[in-house]
Amino acid sequence: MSFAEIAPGVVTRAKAGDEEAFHLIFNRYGRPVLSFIHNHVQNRELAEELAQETFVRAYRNLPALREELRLSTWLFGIARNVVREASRQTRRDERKVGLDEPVSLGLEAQGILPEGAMLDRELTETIQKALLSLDEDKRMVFSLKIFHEKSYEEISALTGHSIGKLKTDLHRARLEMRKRIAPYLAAQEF
Amino acid sequence: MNCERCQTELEDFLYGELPDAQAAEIRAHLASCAECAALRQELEREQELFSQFYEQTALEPSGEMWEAIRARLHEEPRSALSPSQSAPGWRTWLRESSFAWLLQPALLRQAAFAVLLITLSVAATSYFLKRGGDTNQNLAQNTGPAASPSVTQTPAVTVTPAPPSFKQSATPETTVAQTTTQPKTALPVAVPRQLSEQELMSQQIARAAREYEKAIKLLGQAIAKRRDGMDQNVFKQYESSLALINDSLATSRRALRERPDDLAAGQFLLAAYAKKVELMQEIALQ
Repeated sequence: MSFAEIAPGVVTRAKAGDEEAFHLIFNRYGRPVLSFIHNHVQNRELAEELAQETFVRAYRNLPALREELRLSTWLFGIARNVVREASRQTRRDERKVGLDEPVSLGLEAQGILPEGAMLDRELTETIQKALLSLDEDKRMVFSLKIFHEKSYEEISALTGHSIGKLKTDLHRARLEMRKRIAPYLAAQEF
Repeated sequence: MNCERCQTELEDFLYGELPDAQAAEIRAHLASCAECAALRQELEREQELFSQFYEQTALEPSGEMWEAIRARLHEEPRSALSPSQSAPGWRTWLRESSFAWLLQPALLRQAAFAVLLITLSVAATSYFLKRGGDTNQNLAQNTGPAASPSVTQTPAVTVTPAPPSFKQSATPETTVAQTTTQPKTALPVAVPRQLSEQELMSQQIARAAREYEKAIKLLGQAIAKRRDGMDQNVFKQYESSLALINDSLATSRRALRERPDDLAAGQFLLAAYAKKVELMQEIALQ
């Protein structure tokens, strides 16, 4: 799940407006950023739209990036803002059309699994639903820590939350996730 | 090390987040404690499951996605943003947020009018809510701001102490309070200094923030009274939205504390207040 940082000089070139250099950045971070967003919205089309927005904003604001080594954390920070804005907009829209609709951005019961997938569809969907049942803070820290292997320090810089809060949220998120997947873990023991 | 401590720190140990010495203690304990070792295995198995989930569900960006991004980069070139706007931190965040429209200069110029509207609106609300008490006294107090909408320094403004949270953060407000509470006898002697546009704006921002705080307090009281009879889902959504807005308020207060002369930060603060009042009104009037 972890990924190497980008080659030295690429960010500097992209900052200067080199589109090819920015394409390299997209090639490197497109997958984790898109997947991070997908973890939050569970809708491929919407995730792609929000990932596009993330990279457009990243390109525009790239000259403001001070610490090039923190590029991936910075990108996740932009993605987080984009997701939160979309979520806020969805809540506003839902308030207009009625409150009986689910609060999520629209869960797709898609279960698109590649051939030879190691987890069965049921377990994958259980994890997807469990992720969506977490509140926003917990889902954010869970996704960044467990899937994207960010350090507490990076997540704190990205979210503005204290490390204490992050640890508590992550621990609670894991407990909630564990409850949902416990039957599968037990089954694996046999 | 005992089991309780080991189990508390086990997750951080597995994330590689513990200092070497602490990690060594955990390692030693795990080697001698079957119960904690079993818990470690369980966590690792769980982690493995999540890793597989991620690997199987992670999405590969399509070629069309890059093309769409590239097209947008051409449509909205980076030069639209000046280098001075590229300062990191809250300003960058502001540009990325839905409040980005605040950076438009025309809106800064509209602040004076906005402050007047807020002052009039909240003064009227206060008057109607309090008219059961000492009507004459309230009328005299509340017509102060409404009757003196001028942006010049006017001692007729009744200054209500701002809540500590804002008072600590907004330096310009302190200036307003000190100036407007000076003894009236000093006024004929003092030659009014022509305030700069920036100082006027800072004062207006501070005044508007106070008015918003008043409105928020009144709305908070109204919501608290209706809390028990409200739909729980509605209230949860309200609390969640309120938390987001409070985050925005905290960010802008921090920005204003760091740079009291930054008018855009002040404007952002007011926008966050406006959102909060709007949300609370929506809930209070349901």
